[in-house]
Amino acid sequence: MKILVVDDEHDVKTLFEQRFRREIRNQEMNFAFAHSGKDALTYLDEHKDENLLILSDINMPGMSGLELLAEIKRTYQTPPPVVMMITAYGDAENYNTAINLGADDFLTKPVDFALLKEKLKPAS
Amino acid sequence: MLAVRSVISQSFMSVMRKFLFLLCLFPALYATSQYKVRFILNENTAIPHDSIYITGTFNNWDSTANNKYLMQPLGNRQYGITLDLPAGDMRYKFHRGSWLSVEKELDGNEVFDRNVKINSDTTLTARVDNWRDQLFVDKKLKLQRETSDTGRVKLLDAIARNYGFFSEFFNIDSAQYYAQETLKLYQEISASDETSLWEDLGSSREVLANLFSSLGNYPRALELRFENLRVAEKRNDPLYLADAFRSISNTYLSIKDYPNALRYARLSYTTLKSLPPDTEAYQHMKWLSDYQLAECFYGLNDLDSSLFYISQPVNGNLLTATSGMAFKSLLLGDIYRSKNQPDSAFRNYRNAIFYNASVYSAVVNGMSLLGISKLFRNAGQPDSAIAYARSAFSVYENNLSNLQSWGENKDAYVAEVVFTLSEMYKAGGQPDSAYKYLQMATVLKDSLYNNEKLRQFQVLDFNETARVQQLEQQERITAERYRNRIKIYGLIGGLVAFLVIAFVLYRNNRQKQQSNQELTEQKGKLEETLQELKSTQAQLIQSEKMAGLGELTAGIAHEIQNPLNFVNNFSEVNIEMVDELQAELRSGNMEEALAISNDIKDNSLKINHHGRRADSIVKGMLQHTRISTGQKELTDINTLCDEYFRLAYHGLRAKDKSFNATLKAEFENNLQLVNIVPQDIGRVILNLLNNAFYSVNVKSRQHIPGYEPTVTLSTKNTGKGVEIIVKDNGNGIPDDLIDKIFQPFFTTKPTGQGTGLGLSLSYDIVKAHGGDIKVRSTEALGTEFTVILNPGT
Repeated sequence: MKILVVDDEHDVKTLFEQRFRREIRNQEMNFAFAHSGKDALTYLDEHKDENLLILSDINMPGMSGLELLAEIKRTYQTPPPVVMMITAYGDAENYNTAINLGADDFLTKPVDFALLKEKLKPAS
Repeated sequence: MLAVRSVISQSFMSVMRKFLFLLCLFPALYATSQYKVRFILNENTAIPHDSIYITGTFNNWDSTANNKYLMQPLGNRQYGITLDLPAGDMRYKFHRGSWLSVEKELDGNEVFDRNVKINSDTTLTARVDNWRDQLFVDKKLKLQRETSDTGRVKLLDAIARNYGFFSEFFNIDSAQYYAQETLKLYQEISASDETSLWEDLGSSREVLANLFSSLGNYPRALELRFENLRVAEKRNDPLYLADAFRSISNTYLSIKDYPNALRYARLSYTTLKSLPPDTEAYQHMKWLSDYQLAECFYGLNDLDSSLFYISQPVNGNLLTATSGMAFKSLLLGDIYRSKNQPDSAFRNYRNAIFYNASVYSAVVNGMSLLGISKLFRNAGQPDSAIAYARSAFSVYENNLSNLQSWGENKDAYVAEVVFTLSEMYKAGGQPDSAYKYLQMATVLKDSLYNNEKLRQFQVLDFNETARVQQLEQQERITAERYRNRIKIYGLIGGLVAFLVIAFVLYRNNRQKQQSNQELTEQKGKLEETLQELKSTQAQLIQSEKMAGLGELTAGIAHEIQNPLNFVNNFSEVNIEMVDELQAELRSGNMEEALAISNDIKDNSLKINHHGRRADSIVKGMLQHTRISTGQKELTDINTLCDEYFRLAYHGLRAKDKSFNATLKAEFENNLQLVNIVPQDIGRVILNLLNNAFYSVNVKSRQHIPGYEPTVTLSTKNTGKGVEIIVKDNGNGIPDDLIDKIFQPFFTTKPTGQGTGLGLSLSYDIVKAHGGDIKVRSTEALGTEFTVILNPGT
């Protein structure tokens, strides 16, 4: 299972690589990173056959995470990749919009990695 | 042999030549793949010392205030940077240190990315009118400076629209306040200005109508929209007429009076025909008008007509720009559902939700979800039906301000969902839930469509019909009179002309005698009035500033979660890594241990960086929201000043060892004691000193020969009370910014160094003590703040 992390903050890459360093070392999980919604779509285009799970931030410059989510759920219908949103803005409006657009899960920052690992386990 | 050799050597030479040629070409090829691109930015609203960064595809939209992308000030409010960029397409924007401060247009829309193709060394020039976080500050500042009433009406209306139409800034009270101020100020000024202002007045009336309609007060909304119709008739502008008719039709749609809604939608449609069809304005109104007709026919259950109008060809760009695709898909979903074509209906509802993502309207999502719910009900899947209806319910419950910014009444939409839910529970054999929802629906519907409101509607409708009839009759009478009297006018005309000439001659003579005296008197009066106006305006500016305090956004409380995410997680990683480090050390694996310790160090640096980021956010918030509840006590100002003087100096030295400045304390002896909360006033002194130190520090880095950074803290007995004066010889505050400095979040410091709350907090504290803060500043010479405190009892 490959996990694509979408976030405009560059430190997120280091954080995920360290938080999941055992899983990466044992080749249980495999990560890719994109710094914008546009990057993420390019990645999806280039890796069409990959079984992907996407973790995306919401507030990003350019294309927002919600726009990315809507685009993914519209374009990739069979099978649509699992998309989880991770955001610092966990208000009701953001939550409702994400869920209505078809987000599979909604996590707030600071990220509880123990919880995230639990959620990712059945996928990997 | 010789011949052969010469052939070989010739071909060898030609290979060598080719090789050499390629070798020469290689650096040339390499060089052309990168170009020097110079970016120039002109802007007028950021603070001169502010940091402005460029962001784009070339740096992955890095908005972390990366110094590599800091624009250099070029003077004259210009900034520039030169970057080595690869050939090809690229996009870019500007920001002031974070995602929250990207550029925006004056009307509040985020500025679209600039798209350019790089294929040579080039210079790109851009202009920014506004920054995301300054949308209101900028306009309010302009309002303070605007002296012409016409200009003020336009600005008041622009602010009203921002509050009333943007769901992210929606504030019902502020929108109403500014819209009413627009209309009030207009009434006070001369009607001759109407020509340039009628559009602004119309839009303010529409803001108010929108608010009334969102509150369920449809009669008031209709009244304002009829007023707009009257103005549009008077101006005889078909575009505005069509829009006024459409707004009225919309109001009738809200109360489900479909026949009247259709009547006005048709008026809108026919009015448009007098416009040239190739203009964008026409196409825009045409789409709105088609959509309006389609809505009305759907309400009247004439599905084929509705489908006909919603399927009219539309310019594609226009649809995305007006979020029209979302509304169009929703109506198509409803039509196909009513026509019993569930597959098409389902696809259209999903599309509506998809297109709604960029311009979010809660109504589109709620109605699409309810539509899907009904599809499931019809398909005999009651559980899914109830689940979708419930999520429609929660969309309405959680998006009040979004609904209101679209002029929609929450109760009306909730009532429909609740009623559907009640029916679904009833069909599913759950009478308890069915009864509960039925009761909710009844209460909501009663309040929405009670008799009193319907009566008001009928009166309005009657008045409007009567008015139209009266207008027509008047026209007939006027025409008749005109014919009858034109002959008499000819005779009277000659007589009048004679009288006028005689009167003018007489008046000129008198006026010459009086004019000199009158002019002198008028000049004196005008000067007096001007003086009064100036002082009133100054007072208004003060109260305006204070009103601005309430505009702290919840965004900042959320923003703290971003750095916290890194702090929490990197520190937890470090704990795990120390365990691993110890294990490696025990097994004597030095190489691995060193590698791990380097990671730990890197992580700690990141923790520290993000900790500071969080710290500056929190400090600003806390200081601003928590004004101390401490007790007032009689205090010796000199002792207090001395204490905080040391505190400020040592604090600064601790932060920056290279900092050096001459500090002078000039305390007047025998000050009277004042009744104050010492910690609070201390905080004010500390803040003023910190600003002064910062300012001289900035100037000393400019290496001006002979410059000695100096900060003076003095106290003075004024007889009435005590003054604390903080003076620096830094760069001073430009004239155009001096009104801004007490506003929250205003700062001239680079992002991350100042929260912009210090002075506004100080202002609050001093005002709470019944005192005053004054500022005097000369650009390039320095600034002087004076805190005036009068002895309490």
